[in-house]
Amino acid sequence: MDDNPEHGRHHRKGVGADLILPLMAAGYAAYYVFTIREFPWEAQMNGTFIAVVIWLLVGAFLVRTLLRLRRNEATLRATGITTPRAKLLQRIGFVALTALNIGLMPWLGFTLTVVVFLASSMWLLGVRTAKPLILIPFVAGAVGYVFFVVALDTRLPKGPVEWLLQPLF
Amino acid sequence: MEISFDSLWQLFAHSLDLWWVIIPAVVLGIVMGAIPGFAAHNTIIILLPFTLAVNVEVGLTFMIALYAASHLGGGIPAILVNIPGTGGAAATTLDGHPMAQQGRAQQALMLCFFASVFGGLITSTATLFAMPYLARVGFYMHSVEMVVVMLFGLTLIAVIAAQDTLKGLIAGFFGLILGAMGADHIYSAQRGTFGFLELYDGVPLIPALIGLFALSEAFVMIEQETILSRVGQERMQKSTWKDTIDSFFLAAKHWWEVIWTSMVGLVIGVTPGAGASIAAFVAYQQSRVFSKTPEKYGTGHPAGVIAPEAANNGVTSGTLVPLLALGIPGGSTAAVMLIVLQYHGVPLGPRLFIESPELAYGVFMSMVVAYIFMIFTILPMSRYMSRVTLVPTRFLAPLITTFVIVGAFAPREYLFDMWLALAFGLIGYIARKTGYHVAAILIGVILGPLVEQSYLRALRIGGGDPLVLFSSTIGNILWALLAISIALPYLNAWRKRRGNTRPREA
Repeated sequence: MDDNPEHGRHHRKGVGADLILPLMAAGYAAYYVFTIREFPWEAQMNGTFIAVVIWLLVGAFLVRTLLRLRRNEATLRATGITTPRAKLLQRIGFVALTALNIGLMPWLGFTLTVVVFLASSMWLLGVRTAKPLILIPFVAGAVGYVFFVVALDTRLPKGPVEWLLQPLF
Repeated sequence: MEISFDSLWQLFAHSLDLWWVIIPAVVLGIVMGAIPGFAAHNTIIILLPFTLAVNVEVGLTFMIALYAASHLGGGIPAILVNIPGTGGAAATTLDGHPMAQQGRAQQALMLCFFASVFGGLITSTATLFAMPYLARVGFYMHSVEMVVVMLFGLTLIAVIAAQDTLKGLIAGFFGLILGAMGADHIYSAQRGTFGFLELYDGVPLIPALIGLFALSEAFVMIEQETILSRVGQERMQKSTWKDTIDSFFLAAKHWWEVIWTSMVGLVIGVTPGAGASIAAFVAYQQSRVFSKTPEKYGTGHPAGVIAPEAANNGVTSGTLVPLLALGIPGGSTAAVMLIVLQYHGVPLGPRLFIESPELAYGVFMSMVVAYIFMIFTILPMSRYMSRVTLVPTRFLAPLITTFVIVGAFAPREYLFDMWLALAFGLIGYIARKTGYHVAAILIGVILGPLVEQSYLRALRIGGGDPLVLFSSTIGNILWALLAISIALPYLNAWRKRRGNTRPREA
């Protein structure tokens, strides 16, 4: 017997996460229109037109969502973005490591951040064997250095490794 | 120089002699094309010391072969890992990656290579003969006509949105307003930049592409052990050389699709300012409109890989037409070539055809030869390349993230662009997880500034009268074609419904 109201909720689709992008779009459109409010009409026309279309579309989307909620077909849970739950922490960790990778690059330099990022993210994703955890980051770091820094002369942030190897290349 | 069989044969034999330049350029072009952020023009700029040092013929052949190969290379990661190497390959992800997920990566790669190589071969040969006529296309494409061409691209948003129109349109218009960020085209006033100086020139396309496709894909990818379904894994592990040959014949069956979509690419390529991304999306949309099975697009349909790939390689010869015939570069790579040609003192425009016709026509013959070399170098590789899909995501996702972040940095060399790519990565992740298509956002970002520019220019010319958009004959023909493109799917669906109900009525 299924008397539990919570159980019934699980059969309904969680549409909370579906609202993130429309709200972002509507919010950015409002900010955009705010930034052009004192411009000549020609400079306002394009942005205002797109913004109005966005608000109309988002309005229609909100009405559709409200109707689905009223008909008990959906809930406001953000299941779409959090599932699969088992990998949620890994995903948050991976995004955080990516941000850390970019944030640390000006200090550690490109090559060292590649090695650190690869080793830490592979460990986070479940690689526990020492050989790939050491070998892949070092090979990727070396290939990245030779290809991007030496061969293509991309002006990536320099760190201890780049300064150390600069006299050689 | 008269275009005769003898003169063409001589040009062909001469281009073949340059194999030692073409082969390394093809290999380099494919590698660079496959790395997001490293476009052909960047590579040519890096290699300017070489192209300026050698004689003009060798330098030009090298640039042409590299350019053509980079357009092919962009499709490889688009199919295997859902990350387009170039903007022109973004439309390839729509059907190419679903094929890879089903364990048909080898087939998808073969379709991509076949369409790219033969599409490029057909258009470069066609350009050899039709050069004087094609050169005039650029004269007729003004701001009004450009608005309609871009609206063709925009209608793809509706195509992508077929499953949930409202979500697709929200994603597309969100992309459009993000693309309209930065300096206004007439008054240079700043709009929607959050005060970031780095956004004053608008949203840079490469970090947006990398974020929306590559980073978001890496974030989604880690939810599974591999990017293949269970059936896909089994199918992939059993793939043989016979599959390569079968895939070749499957691709050859779509010969007509290759011809007409590559011609779409050629015509769009001739128009300065339009590029491979627009050509690929327009060709995909047109292919779907005229298909008997439009419902299969987006699910791993062979024609959905062929159309954008043939078109983005058709663009390669198209962009060179205004460069050689008029001295106007049709795109960024053509602009770099212009610098090299000017350095060597080569006259451009009609004088080129009078003073150095062998160079003018030799450019396209070099392209033909480069594509012929690609048949032998790249087609057999599809079997080995497709094995990438078997690599576990715990290795693949970190490696992709590491190198695409560099790709976001490379074009402008701003650390800010890495952060921007991450921001777009998060938008792309949310979009993927909640059923909004990242391609719809990207089409908006690409077309946002272009539509605005052409639209405002047209209005200025027309003294603010919106009817100026219907003032040219070519523009009106394009409007009619656009209306047909929009109406045709509905007409087909209506005819199908009628066909289904008739037997029951009988």
